Amino acid sequence: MKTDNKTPVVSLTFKINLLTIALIGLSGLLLSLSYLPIFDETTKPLIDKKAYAIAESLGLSFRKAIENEIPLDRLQNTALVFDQVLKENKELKSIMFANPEGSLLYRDSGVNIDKGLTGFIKEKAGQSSRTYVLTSADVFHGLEMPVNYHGIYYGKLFIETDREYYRQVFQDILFDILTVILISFIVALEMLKLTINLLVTRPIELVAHALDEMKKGHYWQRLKSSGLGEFVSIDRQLNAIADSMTSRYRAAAARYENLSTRFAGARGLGDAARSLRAIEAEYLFEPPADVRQYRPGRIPNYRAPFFIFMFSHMLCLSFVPIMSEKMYRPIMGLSKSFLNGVPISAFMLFWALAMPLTGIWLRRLGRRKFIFLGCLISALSLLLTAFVSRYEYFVVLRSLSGVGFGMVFLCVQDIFLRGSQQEERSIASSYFWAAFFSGTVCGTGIGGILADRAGFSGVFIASALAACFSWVLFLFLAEEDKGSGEPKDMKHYDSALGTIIKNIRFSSVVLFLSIPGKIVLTGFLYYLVPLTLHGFGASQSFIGRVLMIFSLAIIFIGPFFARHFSKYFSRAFLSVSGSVLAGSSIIIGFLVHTVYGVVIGVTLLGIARSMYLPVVDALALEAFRDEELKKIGTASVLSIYGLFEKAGNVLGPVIVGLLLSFADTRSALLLIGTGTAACGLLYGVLHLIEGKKAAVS
Amino acid sequence: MISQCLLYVIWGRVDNVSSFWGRQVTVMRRPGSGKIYLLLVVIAILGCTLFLNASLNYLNYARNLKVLTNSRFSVIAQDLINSVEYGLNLGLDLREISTIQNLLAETRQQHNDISELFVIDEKDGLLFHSRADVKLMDAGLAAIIKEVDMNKRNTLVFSNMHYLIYPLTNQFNVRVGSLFLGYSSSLTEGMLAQAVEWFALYFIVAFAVCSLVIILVLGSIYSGFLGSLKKVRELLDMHARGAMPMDEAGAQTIFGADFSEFCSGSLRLAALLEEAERSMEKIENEN
Repeated sequence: MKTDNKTPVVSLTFKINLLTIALIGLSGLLLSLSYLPIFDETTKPLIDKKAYAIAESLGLSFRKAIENEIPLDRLQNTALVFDQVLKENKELKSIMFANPEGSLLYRDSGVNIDKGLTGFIKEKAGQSSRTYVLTSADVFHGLEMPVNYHGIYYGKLFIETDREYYRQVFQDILFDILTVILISFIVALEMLKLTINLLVTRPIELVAHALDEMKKGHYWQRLKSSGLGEFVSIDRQLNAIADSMTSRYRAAAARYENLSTRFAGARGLGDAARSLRAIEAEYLFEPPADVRQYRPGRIPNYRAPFFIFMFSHMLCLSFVPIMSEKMYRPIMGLSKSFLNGVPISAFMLFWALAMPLTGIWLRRLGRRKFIFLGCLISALSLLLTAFVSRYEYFVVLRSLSGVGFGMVFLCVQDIFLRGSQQEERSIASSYFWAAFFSGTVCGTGIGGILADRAGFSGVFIASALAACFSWVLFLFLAEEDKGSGEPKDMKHYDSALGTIIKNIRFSSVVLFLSIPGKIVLTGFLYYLVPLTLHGFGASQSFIGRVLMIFSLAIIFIGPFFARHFSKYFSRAFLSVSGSVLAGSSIIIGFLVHTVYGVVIGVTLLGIARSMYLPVVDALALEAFRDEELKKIGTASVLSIYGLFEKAGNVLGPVIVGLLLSFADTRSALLLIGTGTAACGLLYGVLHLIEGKKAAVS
Repeated sequence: MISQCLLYVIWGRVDNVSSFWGRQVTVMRRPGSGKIYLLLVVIAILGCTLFLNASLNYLNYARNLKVLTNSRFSVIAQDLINSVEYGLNLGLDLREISTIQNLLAETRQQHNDISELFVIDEKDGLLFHSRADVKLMDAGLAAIIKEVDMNKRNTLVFSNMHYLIYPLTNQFNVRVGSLFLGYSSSLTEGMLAQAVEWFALYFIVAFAVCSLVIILVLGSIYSGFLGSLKKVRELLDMHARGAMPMDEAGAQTIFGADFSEFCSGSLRLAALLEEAERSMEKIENEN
C-alpha cells in the first residue's frame, strides 16, 4: 500500500486480529480448563482401581501361602516382590504388609517408616474388615486390603498410591491441553490472516493502488471488484470517474481531429491543441504494453495453502517409523534398525532431489502447474500409503511424497522470495518459515492424537484430503506466474549452475551459514537433544514439548525479528550474531548439563534461528546482482541452495554420531557449539573482505 | 463448474481473474455487506477453532481413559502370565498345564468387567477359555489376529470388544502361545458418552458467548471503519459532481494524501478538457 496514512487500516486489522486472537485464546483456555475436572474425575478412580487390582493380586499370593500352610512371617523375597511391583507400577508409592497385631512384616525397600506411619499401621492393621478400604490420611493415601482366608483375618496389605505420580499425570494432561490450545491458536491465526487479507487489507490496497496510479495520471487504470459491499461502490465510483474522463478525452481528441481537417489554420485551434498536448503529457488513457496486473496480498494468499500443505505432510510424520517397524521383513540381510530409518531417509532424499528438477522445469510449466502437480503427487502417495502393507511399497510411496513435497516447497519459497523487493526478502522468508513450522507443529501434534483414534491408515487418508484441500486453496488464491523475463530453455540451467556455484558470496553463505545451521538442526536439535534429555530421564512427551519450543520461536519471533531488526541491522550482522548465539546456546547445554540447561539452550537456539534463518535465505539471493538473478532465475538459485541445505540435514546426525563415538555428550555439545559460532564468525570475516574488495573495485 | 457453483454459494457473483491450465479460473465477489461477511467468517473461524480444541481434548481424554483401563487389566493379566510361565519354565507344554482353565475361570469370576480370557497356542489355535464350553475361537477374530504381531504385547478391537494380547514365552524366550484378555467397549463407552456430552455443552456455551462478543465488539469496530469508507464514498460523489473536496477532508480519509492528490489531479484534467472543449466550440461557432 502506497498511502502515507495507513493508520485507520492498520488500526482496524490490528483491532480485528487482537480481538479475535484474544477471544480465541481466552475461550480456548477456558474451554480446555473446564475439561480438567472431567479428566480429574476419571483419572483418580482409575488409578485407585488399579491399586485395587494390584492389592488383589498380592492378596492372592498371601492367601496361597496360607493355603499351603506357610506361616506368613516366613515368606521369602516378599520385599523384592514388592519392589518389583512398585517398579512396574509408577502410580504406587509403597507396599506394606502388617499382621493383625499391627507389626509390619514386609515392606518395600524405599518406604520411609516414621512414628506417624507406624502408629497408623498399628491402628489400622488391628481392625479386620471383609473388603478393601480407600484411605486418605496425612501419613497414608491409598488402599487397605485385608488378607482373609476362610473367614479368618491374617493381616493387612497397605498399598499407598503416589500423589506425586498423580500430580505428574495431571500435569501431563495439562500440558496436552496447553498443546491443544496452542495448535488451535495457530490454526486460527492462519485462517484469520487469510480472512483479513481477503476481506479488508487486499480491497483497501487495491483502492489505494488505483488512487496512487490515477494521481500519477494513469486513467487507464480500472478496478476489478476488489471486495465486498462497501468497497464495491468505491470501486465503481472510481471506475466511473476514470471512464468519464477517458470518454471526454477521446471525444475531445476526435473533435479536434475533425476540426483540424475541416478548419486548418483556424483561430483558436492552437489553444485546443495546447490543452490536449498538456493532457497527453500528464495523463495516460491507454495501458502501457508491458503493464502487469497489480495483485496485492501475494504472501498471505500463498501462506494459508502452504500451511495446509505442510500440515498434510506432517500429520503422519510422527508414526512413520512405527509403521515402518510394523511392515518390517528381512531384506538382503540389512539390519532392522537400518530398514526402519529408510522411509524417512527416502522422503528426505527425494525431497532434496526434487528441488533441482523443479528448478529446471519450473519456469517452463509455471508455478501454478508445478504446485498442482506437487499437491497431486503428495495426495496420491499419501492416500495409497493408507492401504499399503508391504515395506517396499511403503518406501516407494514415501519417496513419491518427498518428490511432491519438494516441488511445492521450492515453488512456494521461490514465490515468497522472488516476488519480494530485496529489502523485504528476509520478511518474506520469515513468513515462509513461520508457515512451514506452523504446519509442522499443528500437523505433528494433531497427527499423534488422531492416530490413536483413527489408526495410521485413517491419518494417511486425512493427510491426503488435507493435501487436496491445500491444492483447492492454491487454485483459488495463487496466481499464474511463469516468471516473466526469466529464460525457459534447458541449456540455460547448466550455465546457471556454474554461475551459482562459482559465486563466492553464495558459496560462503552455503558453507558457513546454511549447512552449519542444518547440522545444528538435525544433529543437535533432533538427535543430541532427545538423547541428552532421555539420559536425564525425561519422558517422550516432555522431549516433544521441548522440541516444540524451537518451532514456536520461529513461528512467533521470526517475523518479529525480520520486520523490526532488519531496519536497524544489516543481514550479515544478523546472520553472524544469530550463528554465534546458536553456537552459544548449544554450549549452554555443555555448561549447564541438566534438563533446564538443555531447555534454555533449545529456547535460545530457537531465538537465534529465528534471527538468522530468514536472513540467510535472503543473503543467498543477495549474493547475485539483480540483473544476474533475473537471468539465472531465483528458482535455480533456491534449488541449488536447497540441495546443499539438505546435505547439511544428512551430515548433522552423521557428524554427531562420529563425535559421540570418541567423545561424551557434553564434549559433543561443546564441539558443535564452538564449530557453529566459528562458522558464523568466519562468514563475517569473509563478508567484510568481500565488501572491501567490492568497494575498491 | 462444480468449483464455480461451490464458490458461488459461498461468495456470490463470478469474476474471471486468471487462467489455470488453459481454463479460466473464477473468483467470486458479492456486492453484499462486508460487515456481515467478516462477522460470519470470524465466527466460523472461532467455531472451527473451538471445535478443534474440543475434539482434540476429547481424543486426549479417550486416549488417557484407554491407557489407564488397559494398565489396570495389565496387572491382572500379568498375574496370569506369571502363573502360566511358571509352568512353562518347569518344562511343561502349554497344552499340559491343565490349571490354566481354572485360573482363567476364577479370574474372570473375580473381575466382572473382564468379558473373556483365553489362551491360544503358537499356531493361533484355541487351548483354554474362561468359559469351559467354548472350544473354538470366533472365526472373525481368528482371521484378524493373523495380522497381529503376537511376539509382543498388543491390543485389538473386534466387534465391541477390546482385547489385550500378551505373548507367553518358555524358558528359552520362545513364544509358545498368547493370552487374550477381552473387555467390553461398553466399559469405557459410558464414560466416553458422558464426556462427549460435557465437551459438547462447554463447546456450545463458549461458542455462543464468544460469538456474541464478536458480533457486538467486532461489529462496532467494523461499523467505525465503515464510517470512514462512507466518507470516502461521499467525497467521491461530491468530486464526481465536479467539486473539489477540501484537502483536509481528503487527507482525513483512510487513503490520506493520495486521495486529495487524486482529486486535484482529476480536477485539473477536467479543467484542461473543458478548456480544449471551449476552444473547439468557439471554432465551431465562428465557422
